[in-house]
Amino acid sequence: MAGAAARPGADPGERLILILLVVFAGLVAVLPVARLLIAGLAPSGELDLSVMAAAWSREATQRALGRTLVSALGGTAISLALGTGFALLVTLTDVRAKTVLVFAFMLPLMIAPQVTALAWIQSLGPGSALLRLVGLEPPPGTPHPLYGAGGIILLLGLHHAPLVFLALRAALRSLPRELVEAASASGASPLFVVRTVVLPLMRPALAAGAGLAFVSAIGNFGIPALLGIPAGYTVLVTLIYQRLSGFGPRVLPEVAAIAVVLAILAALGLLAQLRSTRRDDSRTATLSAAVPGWSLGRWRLPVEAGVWMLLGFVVFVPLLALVATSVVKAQGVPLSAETATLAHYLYVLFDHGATRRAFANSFSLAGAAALLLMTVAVPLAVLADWRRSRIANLLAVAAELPYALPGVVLAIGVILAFLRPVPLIGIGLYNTVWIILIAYLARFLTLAWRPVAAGLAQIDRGLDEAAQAAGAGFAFRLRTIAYPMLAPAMAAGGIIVFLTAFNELTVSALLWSSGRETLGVLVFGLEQAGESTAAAAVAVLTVAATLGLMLLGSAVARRLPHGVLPWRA
Amino acid sequence: MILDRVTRRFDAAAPAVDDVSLELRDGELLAVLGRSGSGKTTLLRLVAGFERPDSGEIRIAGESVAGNGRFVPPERRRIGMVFQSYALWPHMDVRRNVGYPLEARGLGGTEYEARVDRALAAVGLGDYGRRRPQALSGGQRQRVALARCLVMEPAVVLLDEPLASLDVHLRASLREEFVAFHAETGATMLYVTHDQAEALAIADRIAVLDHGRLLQVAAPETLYREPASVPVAAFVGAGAVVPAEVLGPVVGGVAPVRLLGVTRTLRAAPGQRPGPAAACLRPEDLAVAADGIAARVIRRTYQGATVALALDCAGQRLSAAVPASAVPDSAELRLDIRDGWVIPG
Repeated sequence: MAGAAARPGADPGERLILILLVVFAGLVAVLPVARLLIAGLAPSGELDLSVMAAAWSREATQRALGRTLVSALGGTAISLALGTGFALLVTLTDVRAKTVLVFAFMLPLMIAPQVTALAWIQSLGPGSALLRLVGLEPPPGTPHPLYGAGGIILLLGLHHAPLVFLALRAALRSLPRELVEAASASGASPLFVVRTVVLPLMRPALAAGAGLAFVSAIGNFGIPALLGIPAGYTVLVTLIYQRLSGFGPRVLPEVAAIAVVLAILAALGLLAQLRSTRRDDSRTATLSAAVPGWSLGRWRLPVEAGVWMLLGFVVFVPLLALVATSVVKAQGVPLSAETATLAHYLYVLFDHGATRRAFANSFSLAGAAALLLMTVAVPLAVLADWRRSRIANLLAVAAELPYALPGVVLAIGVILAFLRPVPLIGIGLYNTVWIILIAYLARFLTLAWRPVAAGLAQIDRGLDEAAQAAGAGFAFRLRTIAYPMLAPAMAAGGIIVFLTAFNELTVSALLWSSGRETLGVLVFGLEQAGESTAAAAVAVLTVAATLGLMLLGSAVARRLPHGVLPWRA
Repeated sequence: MILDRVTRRFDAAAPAVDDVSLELRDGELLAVLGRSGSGKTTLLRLVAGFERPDSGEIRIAGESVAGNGRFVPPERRRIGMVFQSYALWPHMDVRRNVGYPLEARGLGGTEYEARVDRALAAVGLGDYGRRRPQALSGGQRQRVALARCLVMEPAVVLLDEPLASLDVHLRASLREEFVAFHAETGATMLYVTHDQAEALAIADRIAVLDHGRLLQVAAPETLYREPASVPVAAFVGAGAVVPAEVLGPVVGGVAPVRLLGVTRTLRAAPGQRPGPAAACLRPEDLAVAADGIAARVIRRTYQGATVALALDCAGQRLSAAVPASAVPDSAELRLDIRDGWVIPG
């Protein structure tokens, strides 16, 4: 079909909705990215690399680039090892309680990185209330063992291991069973089959997972902010943050030049991912039943114990430490029945104005983004899939960009695009809550779109054509067919958007203004100001909200296509 | 409904529908018969408006709906369509499924209720209105799909292999039900199928489609007895096409023909010229005789009352259906040609 014009039966309603989608995606997704590229590469309208050269001639920039690469590559290596091992274990063996295991393993990804960092700081630092309980705390005055490169690499690795796991699990599920059975029938032991058949076939998926983990690591703000800034270990993302929050919009050209390089690094990682997914597509044609679980035999219990111990140390102990800090009277005081208190919760919930504001801001921002994007995702997916609109397909691809690029890159693009008052209406968005909402809409559109597109792909297109044959126009069909049928997928998309936006720090760290702080900014700010107990209390509350929403998502998961909720086994 | 020289091509290769002209009479059930990939579903989707013709014109109830720069989208074509999957909406009950075309046109109130009741009664599902489609059997789902497209009294009903997804037993009973249903409603129907037994059983006329081209449009009996070309003779019904020579002019619908070494009188089209031609011999046209053409039995398949014989006659493959009692055990037998048709051309 030759594009929109040749699509049979595009009624005026359909055309109008398509135009609205183009305007929406153009404003929130395309414009900021385009503005950033122009500011970095051609500030005066034509190609001009002088700003770029000036920014990159500074030693601080070069050092930050080196540290970004070191921490991201180190983190990716850890993610790769953990994610691969866990995926093989969960998909190929008869280890028990897989649903719970997957949920626990996915938790670090769902919990905000700044919260994870805070939890680890609390669990291993000199003031650790938890280590104090068992008498293992480092002596006071010693530097925190996690501050600096080692801690950043470790936490980046843990935080993004679920990404490798997800990529690998999807590929393992479509691994033709016969390939494994043929190897077993040839007399190969399970470990030998994994080494000679499974892992070589998983190479594209491993590349994809590693690419994704790398891109996420170079764009991560929460971890290097909390673990790097106190130690003077600056990566590109924290450098941009420090320069922009220290000097304001006048350093925009310089940070834009740094951001463009960050975007190029991300593009390299994405390229690895893209190339492998394309190769994946051609093989799904031979999809057959999933590989059967190998029996671990007498090793089952030891393996299960080991996995749970590891998960306990990297997931639950830090969270416990966080809870411990949030209920202890003052930091550094040992936790006991006498020193336990809920005062910090009461303080952050009722006395501390900024917290209440931040909760309200984050709730309304995440809620508005989720509702709006859920609503937009359905017509976009319907146009792209059922109606074969080339424009809608292009929009869906464009929507990937703001999510794939590091958050700071998008944030700078949004600042550049909306720093000056909007033409025609003359209202400035900079320093308002609206600029954060725009950035959220741009960044999370693709998160709302993916489950809806997956859901749509499972519905017979004939259901739409039948309605069309029955005389229903596009808007009427959306209302009576697409929206009701896609409601569960929309809900899943909405929950994922809400969760991500609710915990978000990277974008809002650059876009917030006084009175418009988000929860992420608040936790970061409280910790930086030394109010660790209050920071811990807020962090625990956000973790509780996150867990609640994840469980809510699991409750509707039965009605969803497979793989829509990442934390579902 | 009229198709006038309609062509639709998806790529540079052969068109999916190639220069097809077809007229559907009021109240007629026309079956489009073709193998998979013959373009029959594309033809149906062109009429429905899900595809746009590259050239040619389509008219429904006197109104041009496609061609000459005009294009009326499906929702404004006054068509009803029954999909192979039935395409019933799982989130609506049967009543709302059936009433949807009315809802889409903003109809409500007593007229809506009355027309839904009427449509449900017509398909015998009056008591099933509050059920969900998932709770119905395959046959009931088909009837819901029929009721849905009849509720608007469309100018033409399009059916895309509606029996293909059912099992064999259900298919036979629904076929009869379908014929009765068509007779009752008198709706104009375009019915696409790959199953020639189905087409022969239910259609008023059959259009044979192959590689996007229309080979012949005729009543089932004509199509079977008097195929217009070798491909049609080979595709519709069993039997064989053998080389023949017409020896004299056609008189009274028959002509003297020499074939397989003998001379017989076969049916032929008026105007058939003497000379080389091809003859279509159906299995029932051949009989075992004491004296006739020598043939060798390649395979015999017992079918109850008759035995199907695959025969070799001087290098020509023939097939015959003869009463079980008349078949000799020997590998060689003699055949008599009782009837046959000279394929025009």
